[in-house]
Amino acid sequence: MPASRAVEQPGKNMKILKHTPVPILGQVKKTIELRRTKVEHLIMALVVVLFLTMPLFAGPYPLAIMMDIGFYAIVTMGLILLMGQAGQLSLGQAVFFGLGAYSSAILTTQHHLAPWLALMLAAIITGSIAAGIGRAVLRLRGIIVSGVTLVLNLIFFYLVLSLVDLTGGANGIINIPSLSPVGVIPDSLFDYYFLWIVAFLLLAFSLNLVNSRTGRALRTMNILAGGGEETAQVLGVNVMKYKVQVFTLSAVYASIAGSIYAHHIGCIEPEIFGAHLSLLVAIMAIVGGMASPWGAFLGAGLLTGLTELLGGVRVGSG
Amino acid sequence: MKRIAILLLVFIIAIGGTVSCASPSAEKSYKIGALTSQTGKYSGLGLQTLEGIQVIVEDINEKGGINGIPLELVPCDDKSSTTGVTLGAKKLIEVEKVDVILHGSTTALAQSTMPVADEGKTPAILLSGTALFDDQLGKWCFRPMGSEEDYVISFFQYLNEDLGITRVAALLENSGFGQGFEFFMPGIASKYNIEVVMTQHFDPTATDLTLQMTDIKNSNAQALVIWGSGPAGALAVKQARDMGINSPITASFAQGSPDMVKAFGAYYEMSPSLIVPASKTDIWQELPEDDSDKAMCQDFASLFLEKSDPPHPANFYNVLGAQMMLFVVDSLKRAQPDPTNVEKARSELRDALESTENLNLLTAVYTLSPEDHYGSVMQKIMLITFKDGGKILVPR
Amino acid sequence: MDLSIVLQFFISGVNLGCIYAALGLGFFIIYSVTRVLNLAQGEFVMLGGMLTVTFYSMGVPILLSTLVAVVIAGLLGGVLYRGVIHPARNLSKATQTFLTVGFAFAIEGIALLIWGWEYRSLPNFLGTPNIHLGGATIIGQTPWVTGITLLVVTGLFFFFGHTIQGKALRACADNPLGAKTIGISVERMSLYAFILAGTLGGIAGAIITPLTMVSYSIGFPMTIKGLLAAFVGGITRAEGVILGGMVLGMAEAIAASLIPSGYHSIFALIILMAVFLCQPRGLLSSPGKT
Repeated sequence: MPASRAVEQPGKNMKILKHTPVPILGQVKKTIELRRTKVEHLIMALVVVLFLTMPLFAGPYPLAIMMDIGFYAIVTMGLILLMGQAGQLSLGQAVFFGLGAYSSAILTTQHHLAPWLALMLAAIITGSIAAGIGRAVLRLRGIIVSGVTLVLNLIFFYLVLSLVDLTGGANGIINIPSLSPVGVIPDSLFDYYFLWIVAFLLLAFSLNLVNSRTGRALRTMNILAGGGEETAQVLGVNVMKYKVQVFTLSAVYASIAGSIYAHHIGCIEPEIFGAHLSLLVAIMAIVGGMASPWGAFLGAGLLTGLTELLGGVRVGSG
Repeated sequence: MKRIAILLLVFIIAIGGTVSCASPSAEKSYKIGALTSQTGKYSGLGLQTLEGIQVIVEDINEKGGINGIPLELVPCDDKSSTTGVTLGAKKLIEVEKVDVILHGSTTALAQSTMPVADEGKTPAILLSGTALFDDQLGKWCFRPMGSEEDYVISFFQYLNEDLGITRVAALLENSGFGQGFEFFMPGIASKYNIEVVMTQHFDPTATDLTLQMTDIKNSNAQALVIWGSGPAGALAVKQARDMGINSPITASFAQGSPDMVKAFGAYYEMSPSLIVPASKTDIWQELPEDDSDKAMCQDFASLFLEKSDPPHPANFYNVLGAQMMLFVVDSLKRAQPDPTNVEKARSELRDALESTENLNLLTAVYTLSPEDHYGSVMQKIMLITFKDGGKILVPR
Repeated sequence: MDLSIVLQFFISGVNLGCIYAALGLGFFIIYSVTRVLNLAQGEFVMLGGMLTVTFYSMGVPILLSTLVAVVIAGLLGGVLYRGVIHPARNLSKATQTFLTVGFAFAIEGIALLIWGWEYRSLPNFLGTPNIHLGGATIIGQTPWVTGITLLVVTGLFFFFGHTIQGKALRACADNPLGAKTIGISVERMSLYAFILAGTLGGIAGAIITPLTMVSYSIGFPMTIKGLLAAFVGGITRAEGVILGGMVLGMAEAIAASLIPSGYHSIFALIILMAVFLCQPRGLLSSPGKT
């Protein structure tokens, strides 16, 4: 029924009116100010030094936690761009994490590509798939998008489970080669630095994006921050184009994390497409705050750290 | 700004926390890390396995430990996830400084344990893992738990030699569990002159299997083999009987677990009654007097009944958990490592595990070698069936 | 194709369709009134099943057990609104949706503590025997599932069409601001919506347990199944949810009889994607009318 699509939902429009519009320009200005404070530079330097030197004083277990935080932070960062900037609620980030991991694993174990090449190809593959999915899903509005993307997890889970020849079915893929060039430094150390350098590069890219023309365009359509797609359209923003772009970008983030994960752990299984990862990452984004990409590190760190502290080991004998 | 400060704080807490979590025990003991799924999708399997491990640890300690050194069990939850397994294994190795890891969960998670155990130079005993990957075990991992192959053989041998059946339909779970079974099925079926006339699949979460059953009913199969790891397999048995399929059905040990028997006992007993594999401990009362394992199984059965809380008879995964622990205990007794030097103890224990020979335990006899960490395991699979609310040996 | 397979396909399709519809209706009610996706809906289903089993095993007659279980599930729906959603009513709908996830985790954890990990089952209601029909079989519980689902749906239509509360709920769904202006308490209506959704979840859990078994962990998969039905048909209309459920049920049945086994589950999901591509708001999607 094409007619029905043309009719806008009256309830929706009412709600936009209900919000007191947040001054968008003010928010941008605040963000820029934040970035430029000296104290922040100092703290950033401190954090970087802490990260670089951590393998010197911490054993494999804290490093493993840091790896987990890194994976989650990258995926969450993509989601924060999507949610915080464009106002689109995706619960399907695990799909792109999984796609990245599986593409990387298949390209290296079956086609014997170099891991770093596989990582890049995986990001391209995932990005293309995400662009297709985005075009279909982002025609929807509001919270429904989150429901549909949640269902995507399930579709990919069963797809991977069924394509046994390609994906190994329920047993997954093992013996995925490591990213590290043989013999230079230990694999886990290389993975640690590689992951965190990628994470900080992506952070820098995200911060720039937030303060760019694209970032401002995205925020005008952000229903969560008082904007709206109608507003954006009136301002001459090509809403669909930007939405699909940022959706694809968030998928590429997740794909990169997924690829590094696959090469780091060495074996993967279909369960990584599970909706639990998608939900966890979304909760991290909300806990960390969606105004700035920094929130990803906060959310990932808090949730991973806390669950590990509270629920890791139940000491007792029998 | 404030955020970044919090961020820093969290990292410091996280790192500090992991160090403070380490509880260096003053007395010397052998630390056993039990990495099982306590929460999440595989918690049923993991909790039962853990219960089996706990009973043995308690028993050994009451009897004065191993050469006077007590065992200390460190249970750890793998959260039924690959990241959980990796973190848990690293924590056990590095923070808790365990001598050995017992991993009790599903195949995919067992695989994730392998690289960590190798890196941490700590022996790991894996409960699960399909026989398909046994050449990948590496130096520090052991999976002496038998193969799906043994179950396929026990089914097809029985169907052909005892019942004279030549045409069989298979209904397999769409998971790693079913995948392993399906891998071995064609070869073994033809060995026993059985034709698999139809192979159908079901999801682990399936609720309606009537359509698969209609196809099976319309095929000319004389018997039905169901292989599932959870309730869907038991539902399949129920719906087969509901649909009026009256041929013999064999199903996996998971379908014989107490909760399934409680729920579907009436269907299991419908003639011809359901046939499932079980350990000797399950039916020790039924074993003939001349069976050399009867005393051992009886002892374990009564020990488990006494120690478990709330008291209940040992089920299949309880037995497997106990068996993993007993496997380690044997090696500890032979190696007698010094518990104060963890690295040396781990390495000595590993060597001892590797040289296990003719070790007769509850469900199998083990012989391992440096080349073969899977071992030539002689499984003692018993086929049982259901009658008058109880289990009996299949008359052969 | 054999007649018995066609018949069985139809029976299975209707049965699965009713299960999907029963799971999906709760989403429709909460979403249309509050625009929140209640991702804890499956937990009500789990509780409905678990509580019915518990009471039944204590010797309470099956229909009474079901009734008590459903009432408790409904009350929990109210608790979810009062305790979680209402305090967060000024936050975004996204945050409120995630709060329901937290609630779901909490319920799952408590259920694990109370009941353990074991699966439980119920006999067919009142011991209804299986019906054999020309080579096909209707499992005894199926008529109960279909009948009760139909009854619930009829009840809902009556409630929304002919009672003052139902009309008020519809008004809130249509236009919350307008409803407020004419003196309807949107908050109270939201509370009713959650209680109603909890009740519906409880009913669904109780009637499907004899077919599917129940354990503490089934909540989340049930949530996903219900979401599927709601999305295929269109979450803003009750008819949409029911139609969506039926389409999915039939799709799964077709898949099971025609598609090589192993690909069943994907087939239903691919239908879902096809529906989205052609009709992004679901099959029945004229907004503004309930």
